[in-house]
Amino acid sequence: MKRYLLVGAAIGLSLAALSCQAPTPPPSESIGADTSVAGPTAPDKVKRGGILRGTWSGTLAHLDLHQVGTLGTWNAGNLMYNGLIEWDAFDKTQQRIVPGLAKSWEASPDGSRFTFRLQDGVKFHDGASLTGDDVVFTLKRIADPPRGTSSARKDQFQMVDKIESPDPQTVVVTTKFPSANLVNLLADGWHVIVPKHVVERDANALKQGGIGTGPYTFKELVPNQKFVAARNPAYFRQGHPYLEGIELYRFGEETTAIAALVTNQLDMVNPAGQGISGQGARDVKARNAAMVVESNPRLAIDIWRYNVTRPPLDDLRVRQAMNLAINREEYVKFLQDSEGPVGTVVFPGSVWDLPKAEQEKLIGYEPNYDQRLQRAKQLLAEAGLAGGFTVTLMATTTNFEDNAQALEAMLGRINIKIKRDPLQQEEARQREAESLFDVYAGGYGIATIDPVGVVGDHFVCGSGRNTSKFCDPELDRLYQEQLKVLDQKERAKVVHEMIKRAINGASMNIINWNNEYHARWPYVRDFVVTPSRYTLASKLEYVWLDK
Amino acid sequence: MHRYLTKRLLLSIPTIFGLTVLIFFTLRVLPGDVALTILGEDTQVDHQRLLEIRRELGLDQPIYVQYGQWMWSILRLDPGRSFGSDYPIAKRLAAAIPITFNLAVYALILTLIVAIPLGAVSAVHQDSWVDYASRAAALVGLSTPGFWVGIMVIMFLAFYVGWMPQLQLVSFFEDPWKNFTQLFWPALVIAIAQTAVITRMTRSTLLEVLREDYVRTARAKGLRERVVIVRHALKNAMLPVITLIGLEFAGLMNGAVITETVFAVPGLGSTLIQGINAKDFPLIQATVLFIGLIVVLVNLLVDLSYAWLDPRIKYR
Repeated sequence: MKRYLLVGAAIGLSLAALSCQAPTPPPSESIGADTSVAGPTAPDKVKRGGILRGTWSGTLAHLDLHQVGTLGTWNAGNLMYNGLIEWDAFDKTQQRIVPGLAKSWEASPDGSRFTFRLQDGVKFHDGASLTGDDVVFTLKRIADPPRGTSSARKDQFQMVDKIESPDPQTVVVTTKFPSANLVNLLADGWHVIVPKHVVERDANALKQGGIGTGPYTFKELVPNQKFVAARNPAYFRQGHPYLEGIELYRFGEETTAIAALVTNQLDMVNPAGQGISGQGARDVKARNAAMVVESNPRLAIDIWRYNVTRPPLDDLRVRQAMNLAINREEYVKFLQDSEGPVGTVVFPGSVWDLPKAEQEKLIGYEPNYDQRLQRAKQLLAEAGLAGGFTVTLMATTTNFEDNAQALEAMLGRINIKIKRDPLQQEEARQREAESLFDVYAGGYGIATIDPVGVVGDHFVCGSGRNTSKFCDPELDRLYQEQLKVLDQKERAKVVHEMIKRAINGASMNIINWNNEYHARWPYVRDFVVTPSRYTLASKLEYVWLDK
Repeated sequence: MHRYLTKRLLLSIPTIFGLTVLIFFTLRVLPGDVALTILGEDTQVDHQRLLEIRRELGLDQPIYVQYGQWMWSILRLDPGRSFGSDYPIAKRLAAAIPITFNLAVYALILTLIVAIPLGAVSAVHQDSWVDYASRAAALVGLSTPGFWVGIMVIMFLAFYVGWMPQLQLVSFFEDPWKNFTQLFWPALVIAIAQTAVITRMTRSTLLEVLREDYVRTARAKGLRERVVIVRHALKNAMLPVITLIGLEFAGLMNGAVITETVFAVPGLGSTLIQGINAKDFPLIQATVLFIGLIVVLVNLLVDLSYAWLDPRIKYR
């Protein structure tokens, strides 16, 4: 068994990174062996070669990472590209950014001009050299897409004013105002650099294949069935990747995937993204105790949210009363297969998180539940609803019963009844997007660990996922302010105020931040699960097979 | 014969037309938004972008225009490209159809090897223990859901035998034995239900035939029992069984949807499921239409086979 424990021969990535204070990592419950990896194995100890076989989950729209946000696209597409800068593959707290196609970067003192110097000799898979023009073309394609091209994340880059390349090895991004998070956002894995000469000729050229600079080159794609990539021998991080290739297979049934794993038809479940269910993880462990099975914190949340335009949910007192009646620890027990820390609108334990004492002052987070119930009843009485009311719960059929039972149990204590409205996933998503609900319970993946991740998407007035239709000018002001505060400690102070405003505004409640289960054979080495899927870890360029 | 064939082919035209209408319009009334699916799980819902995606996919057109465009593409034998992935559907079906055909043939062979002898023995030895056992087994086979049997087989193989078919499917022409070992288990799962149906049908039709005068005459002539059963009774009893086999085979070509999904066989069935999950209308339409065409064709072939099996039947 011991020989299977990862040696963790850390040489640490001492690469340039953003300055940050040491965070307290959220708890990571390992249901198998301790697999924490401090850093990559020394190259001379690595066994090279072999094909890594994994599962491929999530819907695949196509392989153009800029134009969509589906996990099936990410899991396959990300292997073929690099960003200018990337979140470190081995930093489980996800605070460290390492060079990607930019070997260095610097911000002007006023935080509105960012200069990136490109690596030398980087080539795209078709042999063309990477230049500043490719980077400028790419960033413009993301921030301000040309007609006929969509950008799934353009809203994140509203601060961008100009993107220029004064020489082939330099790119300068100028922002409209000092930007505290441009670098963080650029490090998110979706913002990969694409070849101008290919995409300019055909805007959809990357949908069926992939020509990037990444560790693996495109070999074969059968949509939603199989994706095959081969090692890029000309990869700019010399010596990487260690694997000869990657094969990802799609499974309609998790049982089949687990069967394939335990019979060694697969080396691991989804290497680049979604894990397996808790039950699946336990099954794997029960069938083969030597298998590495982990539960790791991820940027994903279970929530319920209110439509604040619908009476009586348009009354803040009513929403706050409902929040007070919800006991998150109790709620999590209702949600099968969901585990992970209770938190607010930022990743628990990150540098942005509220101190515990502060968090316990938020409405609905106070430790004394009985007092909370009394306060909830008082608020309802003030709103003229002491006798309670009935509210409709919309959720997908897959997790409806869990949520309905939890809400019925807890809201029943303040005389609020639940009318059930279970829907298939597609219909629920459509109705949620159109704000056709009273209370919606579900889950979201969060695109970035930056504090804009949840608040920017779900709380800012008019933002794309603010389906609660919530608007708070003071919250919006705090949101805009924190974007411009360059000093991290000072920014955190504004973020804390923003968190308080968002939580006490009671438009969307976070039940917990999710942990995700992963399983693999012990010979799969140097595989790390970072909080966000969109990090260098997903490129698998450090992973090697010890067999 | 030619006249009959022409008549049947002409009759299939309204059938296929009805099928296209049914497929197309049923999909359009299903809830959900393909644009949202394409936009992705972890992105903001940009309503402007949703409109753009719908326009790119032609979903902003009146529904009769969309139907007309699809029919035109079908008449040109080009089912178009997948929503979102833009992948050529013809290419995808071309890869999936041989796999499902391969699986269906194995399932049919397994079915016939067991079902006809078992049905015949059951009929000949009516109310014996063999008959009771065969009837009970058929009932179990009919009433056990295929997806459950599939999962049980997978779990048994993986967790108790420690083996599972290789994920990368090998073509029959590349390595017939490997191909057979890969598809044997899903074929077996499909064959269980098919065997149950065909065993019961063989038994009941043979029982009827065995009571016919010509069978009694054959026995009175002193023919051996085996000859009476095989040459005289079974051949005549096969007519409705052949019809059923034809329909079951057509059913198998619809991809044994669940079994393919459970065993991760990349055939028509799993393609259809993936199309449904992604709300990929063109893919679903093309797949279902292909399956419909197969059913129409197999029905025709079954009808034509009657003349060969029973010379008394003449087509006019």
